[in-house]
Formats: sequence, C-alpha cells, structure tokens
Amino acid sequence: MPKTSLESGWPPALAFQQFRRRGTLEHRVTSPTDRELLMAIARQDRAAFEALCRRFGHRLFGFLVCRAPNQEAEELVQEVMLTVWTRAASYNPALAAPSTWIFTIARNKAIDRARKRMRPQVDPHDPSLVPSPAVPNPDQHVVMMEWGHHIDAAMRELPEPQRVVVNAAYAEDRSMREIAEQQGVPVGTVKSRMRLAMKSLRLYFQRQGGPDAH
Amino acid sequence: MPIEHHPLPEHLAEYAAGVGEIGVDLVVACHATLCPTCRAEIEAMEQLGGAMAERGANEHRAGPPGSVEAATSSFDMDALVGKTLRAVDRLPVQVPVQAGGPGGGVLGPVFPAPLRAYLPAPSDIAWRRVLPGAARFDLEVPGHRGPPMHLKKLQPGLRIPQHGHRGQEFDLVLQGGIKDHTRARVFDRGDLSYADASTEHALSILPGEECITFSVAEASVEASHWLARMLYRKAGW
Repeated sequence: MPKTSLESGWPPALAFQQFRRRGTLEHRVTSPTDRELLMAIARQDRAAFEALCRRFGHRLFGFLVCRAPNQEAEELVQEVMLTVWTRAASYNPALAAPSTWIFTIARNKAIDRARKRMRPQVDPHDPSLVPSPAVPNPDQHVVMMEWGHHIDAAMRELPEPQRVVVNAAYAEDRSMREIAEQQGVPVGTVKSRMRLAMKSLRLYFQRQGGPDAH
Repeated sequence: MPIEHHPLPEHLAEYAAGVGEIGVDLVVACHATLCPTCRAEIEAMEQLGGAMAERGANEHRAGPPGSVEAATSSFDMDALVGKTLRAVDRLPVQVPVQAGGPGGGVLGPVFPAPLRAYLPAPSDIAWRRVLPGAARFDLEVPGHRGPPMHLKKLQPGLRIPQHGHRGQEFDLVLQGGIKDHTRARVFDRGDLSYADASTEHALSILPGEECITFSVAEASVEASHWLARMLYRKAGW
C-alpha cells in the first residue's frame, strides 16, 4: 500500500483530498506547490506523482518536441517523469526551483538522445563516490544558484560575446568548437569567454545573496 | 587529503551543458565522483541549462501559433499519465550502496563508475608494457573519434624527463601520486593534471604504490632531450 501525504499530515488534508478527488489542479489556491508534490513523491505518493505529471506534461512535451519527433518526445516525457519519481528524494530546494530541477532532467535526457549515448555521469551509488560534506565547505567556490528566478537578469549582465557563448552552449547545445566556427574566433577565445561568463554569473548570484535572496 | 587540482571552469561548463567530447566528459565525471566541490559546481551549471530550457518552453507556450503548438495539441495527457504510472510499477527496487562500502575499501574501487562502464574487470585489463616501469591500456569506445583515451600504470619512483605538449592532455590520478617538479605540484587520487601547448614539465612518480591515471591526450608529448623523445615515441605518449 503506497504511503500518502495524508498519513504524514502534509499537505493540508483538505486541499490534498480535493486534488486527489479531481485528479487535476485547476484551483491553484488550494493545490499543493510543486515543492510539496516533490516531497510527497519522495515518499512514493502516486497521487502526487500523477498531479505533477499533469502539471508538467505539456510544457515538457513542448520543450522536447523541438528536439525529437512526436513519439520520441512523448517517450522522453515519460522518462523524465520516471526519473523524477526515482530521484525526488535527492531534490535539493536550496539549489533550484522544482521546475528548474525537472527541466534540467529533461534537458539532460534530450542531450543523451541527441548524442545517441548516455553522457558519462556520476553514479550516486558508486562505492568510489566521495560524499559531500554535511556542512558545505566555506571555501567552496560554487554558489548555490537558484537560476530560475534570475536567469534573464543574470544573462543581461553579461557582455554580448559572453552571452552568445552561454546561449549557444546551454540553449542551442553547441560545443565550444562549433561555437568557435560559428563565431569565426579561436576555440581558446570561446573557452575564455565561457570561463568569464561563469565567473560573472557566480558574482551576480553572490550579489543577490544566494538562493534565499528572492 | 582534499583534492587540490580541478578541471578548468570551461571544462566543467562544457560537461554541464552536455556538449563536451566523451574523453574529457569521462575525465570530468570521474573527477566529480571523487570531488564534491566540482560535483556541486556541475550541478549548479546544469541548473542553468534547466532554467534556460524552462524559459524556452514558456516562450513557446506564450508565442504565436506554430508547429510546436500543433504538436502539443495532439499530446494525450491521459495516455502519458497511464503509461508512466504503469512504468513506475515495473521499476526495480533500488538498494542504496554506501560510498566506500563493500569491495571498495576506504577509497572505494580504483576506477570510478563512469570509467568502469568502459573497462573490463580490473584483473582482466590487458596492460601493455611500453617502457620499463610503464604500461598502458587503450580504451575502446565505439564510434569515438576524439582524442585517444588510455590508462597508464607507472612504477613508484619513475622519472619522466622534461617535455612539452602539442595539445591538451588530461591526466586524472586514480591511484598513487605524481610530482610535477617544474610546477612544484603534487597530484594525488582525484587530482587532475592538465597540460597544454604552453606547459613544459618534468615529473616523477611518488614512492609507495603504483600510480594509475586515466589520460586523454590530443597529441603526443614533445621531449626536450633526443633520448626521451625516442622513449616517448616508443611508449606512444
């Protein structure tokens, strides 16, 4: 018998019963948030999972159908949602909004499909894995970035050549070599623009005060 | 000992964007297995891609009618939900394995999982002796046309004379250690030694255990001394 959010007392029972009964989330005021749904999915709640599928299905399909034929795009949406089901427990709200996290999974699936092979990836179950420290290292150079709320403003801060490189790599899936050919500049120039762009984006988020600033 | 030598930001960014070449991607994925700092950095960069994908999806929805709208109008949500829920029922139960757990010892297996996918069992690796104290194993990746990838096994104390590079070279230390005498650096497990055309250095293998590296090299090295040049050519470096 799968656990439900009702057993844990979360989200408010009335709202949750309402969306379970309807199977849709027309009334946003009483609907659980994406984050609440993810937390319920982490506890293997099928109703929450179905609700999240319905909430994101169309948008994910709209993104994926630009990169794959209809039927494959549908299969990819299913793969994305299955990944959400299996990895919901690892979702870190300090790092990304739920929608950004889900679209990150979708983007990675689309890339793997385009490459016709899985990108080598860290396996969280690898016995070789060196676990992350319980308390983040203060010297750690990464800033926990909540891109979703700031992406446009952050990108506008970049000088045009850097913005072009970031867009080409992250929105058009172009390699540094391809970007260099497209721009008619050496690969080294593209790399240094990418390096500077990442530094600028990091500084932007530091100025915003990290993920809790919005 | 904490990892001190990391991939360059552009290599992490290229990996996170999913547009990297398999060899460097493997180096980055193996390094990230051993380095929580770079793992977090990659995760943050991947979220950038996710945010851009989400923005693109929202723009399509808000934009004028077109092919995307036509395709999404035929999308059958009920069928998708039904199929996905049935697929959830068929998923195998995952048993979490503890990091550094059975079979791994304190450091875990020498080869991180991304690399193990391309290797036989460690006892079946057909090391080819290329020089006294040095052996290599070439990785075969079907369809791969980028820089060659190989493992190197080097005896403790081995000295590698002064040499330069004609292209980028990535050496990820998986066991033992390397001392770079020219740049005054020590590379231990998880550290990445990166060299390019501007790098000239002399190395030695740290005493103790054999050093194993996963290496990706765009071009052969260029030794300063004629004898070293001959040896490197023989070793295929």
